[in-house]
Amino acid sequence: MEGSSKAIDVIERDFRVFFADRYMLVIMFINFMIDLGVSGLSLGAMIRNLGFSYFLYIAPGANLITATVAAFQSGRDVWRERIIQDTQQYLLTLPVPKNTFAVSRLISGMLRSMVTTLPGTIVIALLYGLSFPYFLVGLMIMFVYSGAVAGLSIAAASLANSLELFATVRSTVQVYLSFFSVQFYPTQYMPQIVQVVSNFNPMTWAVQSFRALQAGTVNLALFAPLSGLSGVLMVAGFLLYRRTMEY
Amino acid sequence: MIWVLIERDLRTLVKSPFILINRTIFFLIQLFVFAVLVSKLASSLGFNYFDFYSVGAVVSTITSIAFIIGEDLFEEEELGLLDYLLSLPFGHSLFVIGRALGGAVRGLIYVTPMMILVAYLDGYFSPAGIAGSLIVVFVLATGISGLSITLAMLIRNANRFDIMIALAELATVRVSAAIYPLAYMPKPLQPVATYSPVTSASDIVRSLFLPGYQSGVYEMVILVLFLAVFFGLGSAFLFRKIEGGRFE
Repeated sequence: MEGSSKAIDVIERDFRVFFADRYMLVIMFINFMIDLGVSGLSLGAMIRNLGFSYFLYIAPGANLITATVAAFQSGRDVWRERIIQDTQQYLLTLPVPKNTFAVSRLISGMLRSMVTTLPGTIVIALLYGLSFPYFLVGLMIMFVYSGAVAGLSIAAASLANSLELFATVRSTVQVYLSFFSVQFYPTQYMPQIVQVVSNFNPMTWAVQSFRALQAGTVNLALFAPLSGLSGVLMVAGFLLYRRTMEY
Repeated sequence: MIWVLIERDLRTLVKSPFILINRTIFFLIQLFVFAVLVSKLASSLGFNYFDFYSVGAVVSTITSIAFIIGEDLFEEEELGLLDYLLSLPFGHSLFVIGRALGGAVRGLIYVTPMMILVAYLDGYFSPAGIAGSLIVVFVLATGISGLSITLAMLIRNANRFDIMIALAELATVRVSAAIYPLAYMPKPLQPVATYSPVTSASDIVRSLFLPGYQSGVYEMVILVLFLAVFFGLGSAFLFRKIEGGRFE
């Protein structure tokens, strides 16, 4: 009970840091709208021979990329505490067990991503005409996907000793998530090797789960690999972050 | 003197191998994965989308590299290094011009192999035309460097700066004809994209490399105006900052 109360304190602190600059939330929503309203509509107008709306096909990807950006802001906070502000040692002296502290940072990263993408998730739900229960499932998909990217971002923050390396990992992850998944193209158009790689990409399963919602189904066969990948990446993030706390 | 400043920025970029490797891989993936696959999806268009996109990929890459100069300045300011740099025996005006040009020169050096690769893929082999296209992207990169320096001088919060730079990069590239033709963009954005310097640079390079594409004086005027405005603004803000005391 006491552990969960301390975890909530850590999460609350992360939220306070996050909401100290509400302007950033607006900018991230603008980012999403540019992705969806400019690139999405333009590509949708160009690609009309697939038998379905390409705009709606790529729409969830824009929101998932925003979730990735938000999750990497959590990683950036962790990185700044370690390298720039040198406050990690102070934070570790607080009466919160290290495991609880590390898990709480991951969970706050997930929650922050979900909150940041909430307007985007609503936009997608409206575009897809989702019922309220399906909208809640959409939120669950965003939450589980956020676990994958929060894990990746905390892992990157734990390994990188320079901003350059952290920024490089961040953009590499974004390229991997966007271009080696089914965000932009159906599987049958991909070369064999890209098909294989895309199966290990949380974006593939998250975006497909959203598309299944549009088709009126909650497909657990898509949700299970997403959960599995998120679990693996969160454990990786946790272990690497824990390692930075030991000498 | 100015070359010393440019050379320092070049050294900074060369000493950042991760950025160079990452942007190169990103460019190659854009070209050989994204463009190839989306071209298959867009096969019903009346033109070759891969060729169209290949030029846009170079233009968007130099845009992205030119934005890094603002990140460098922001970091120097945050770490207090800017004060040290200003103690060196350079006039402040020279320092300002050198940094803006440094951002553009390193972008140019970086994208030259990419431009040659794209010219080869598009079947264009004129050295004079390739040199002309490099001049066009250099003008664009100088203006983008100015824009980036302006943002670095206006924003004080690191996280906010990070997000603003990403937004500026996204907006300048996406609201332009770099990666999709103007005719397919949402109608209200078409006038904005028409006046985008990224559109102008892409159009000029396409008119050089690809048959059936045209550009005129109008595109060059937009590019030069953009350069004048943001090179001037970036220089003015940087000048004001360095004359106004250290970073708080």
